[in-house]
Amino acid sequence: MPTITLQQFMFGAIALVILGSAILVATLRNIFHCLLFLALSFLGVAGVYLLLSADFLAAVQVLVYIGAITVLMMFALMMTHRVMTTDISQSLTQWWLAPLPIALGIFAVLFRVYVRHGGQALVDTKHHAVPTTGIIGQALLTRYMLPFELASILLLVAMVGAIILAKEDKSDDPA
Amino acid sequence: MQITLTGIIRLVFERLHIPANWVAPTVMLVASVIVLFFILFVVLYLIYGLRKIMGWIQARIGPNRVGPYGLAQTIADALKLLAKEDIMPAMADKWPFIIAPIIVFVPAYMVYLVIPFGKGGSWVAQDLSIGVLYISAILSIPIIGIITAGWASNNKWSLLGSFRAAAQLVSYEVPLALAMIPPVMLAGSMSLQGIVHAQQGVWFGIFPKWFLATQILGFAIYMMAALAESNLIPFDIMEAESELVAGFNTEYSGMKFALFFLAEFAGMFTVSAIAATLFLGGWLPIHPALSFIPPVFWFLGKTLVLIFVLMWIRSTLPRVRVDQLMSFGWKVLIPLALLNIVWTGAVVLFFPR
Amino acid sequence: MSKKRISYIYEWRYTVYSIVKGLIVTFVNLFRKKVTLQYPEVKWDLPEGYRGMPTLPVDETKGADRCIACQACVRACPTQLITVDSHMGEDKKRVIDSFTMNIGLCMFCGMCEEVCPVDAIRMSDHYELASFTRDELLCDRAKLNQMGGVWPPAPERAAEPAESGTD
Repeated sequence: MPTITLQQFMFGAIALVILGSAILVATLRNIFHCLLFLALSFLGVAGVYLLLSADFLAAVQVLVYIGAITVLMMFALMMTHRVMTTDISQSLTQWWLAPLPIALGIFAVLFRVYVRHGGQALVDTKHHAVPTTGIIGQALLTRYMLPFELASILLLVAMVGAIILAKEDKSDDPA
Repeated sequence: MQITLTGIIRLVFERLHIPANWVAPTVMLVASVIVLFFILFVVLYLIYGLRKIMGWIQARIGPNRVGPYGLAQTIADALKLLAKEDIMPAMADKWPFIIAPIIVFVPAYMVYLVIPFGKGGSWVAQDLSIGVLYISAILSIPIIGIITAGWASNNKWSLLGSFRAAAQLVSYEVPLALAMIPPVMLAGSMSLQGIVHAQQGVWFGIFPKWFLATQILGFAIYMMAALAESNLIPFDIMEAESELVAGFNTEYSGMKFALFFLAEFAGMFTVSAIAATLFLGGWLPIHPALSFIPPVFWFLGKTLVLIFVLMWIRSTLPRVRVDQLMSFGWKVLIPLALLNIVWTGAVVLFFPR
Repeated sequence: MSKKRISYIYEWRYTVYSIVKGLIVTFVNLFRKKVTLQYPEVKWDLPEGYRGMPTLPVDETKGADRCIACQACVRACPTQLITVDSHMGEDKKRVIDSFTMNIGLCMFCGMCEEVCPVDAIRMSDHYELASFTRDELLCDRAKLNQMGGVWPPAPERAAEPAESGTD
């Protein structure tokens, strides 16, 4: 009988939390409850990062996904009065057509990785965590400079676009 | 030999013949309980201190009835809060209403994991290598709790309060995080102990090599953002008693309200402790000649001075308007914080350590 | 719609200046003498002419209060809290059967004191009048005498009979 290490046990528990809350996000009627479970799911992902000794990534996951993205969604939710008060139901019957290819695609990629490495662990989690911050910083500013800069340009463009959309139009003011 | 928590527990366990692999979990448990009681103690006396200082500033005496000098006043208040009826509004969203105070309190508690109270590993629960990032990540969680509280209460004031809270906290988290970056740049480390160690030494035999020397602007930005983060008065629009009754905690009573209160004052101590660590040299003495005073007193002393400054500002200024708050955060604090980062970059480039 | 523009730098300088000034004011206040009165232990020095509970002080020369049951106070009282019952005595003077004041209704206006022809009613210094029952607030003559104490004080007493003699 194979013994379960603490790490495997933790992974199982966290995976259960992630999957359970993700299912609840998709099925719950009350959209606010969905958001809370979404936050829990994000927190679980941060837990997985911690198990993989990726401390920097875990902190960024919490900072960005919980601290920013969930809050942003809650904000948008509060702005739309109608959705807040009532339990809305899914009106699109073929809704599963959209996430299905995405899910299948991700599964295919993961399966390919699994097959290529013959089921061996990709990350060495046995040894104690080394600080990853410096390594990530160096990688981002040397080897992955172009994608990093492209991502920041993308974000900048999105921000400028949002400002232009939100700016009040003064040119054709009837008064 | 230094007496540490681990050492004591190991000794006790050896006496009682408890296996050695139980030591590490027990140490964690005991440390977290110690931190919890520390928070409770600190919060009780911060409330007392706030009431005293506000009293003095308003030429009053402040609480002085319960216990000598009123020292037991907040303990009595806490007991009263715990004994009170826990009211659940009839139309409230039950589970979010219950977990909201927990979501707010737990991060305020978790931050204490990395705060270095003194020199060495026995004075900090766990010195993470990503300390500063950890703090800003953890401090971003309570917003969800506040929004949840406001939404689940099913009350106009609560919702408006949490709306304002979300806007304010999201906006002021940015300058707070940006103001925390320059000390990291100067120290070349995100661990709080590392940052404290980088501030050792003196210039010209007198001036301490604290990061405050080059970071006066950063310190000011940090303190202003910290005022907003711990929603003290010039930026307390989320609770604004005269406008919103009590904001997101209008419907809360008893134990749950106590948790919000606890989180608020624990946050006040946290932001001051982080400011002391990042800009004022943490547990380092002002001058090496004064190092006979234990580091923990230096740390607590600096933190208390900063808390006093926060309370002083709180009892002086009036509340800002919502639009003033937002425009100040986005149009003044964030550009200044970015400018400060550029300046720090120049300092690091031209005056390498 | 032209708004007078204030210089940006001036605005900021003024903001910082006023905040710093406010902080200095509050800091100085920290060390100011406290104005709080520790009430149950320390009591306020009552100013002259303070209007507390209306009472019937005992006239020392007479051994009783001076009330002549003229009903003037009963009529003057805005809240009608005074009741005086009396009958005609043998010497054609009214004898008081009962004199009650419902202090719970009193608003301390002092009309009764003002209207009394013989200065029998006096607004005393008593202001701690809270009680557990309403009945305790219903004061009869004996209680009013007791609360009023002895009046006028000794030095004025000599002048008093002469004054009342001219009436």
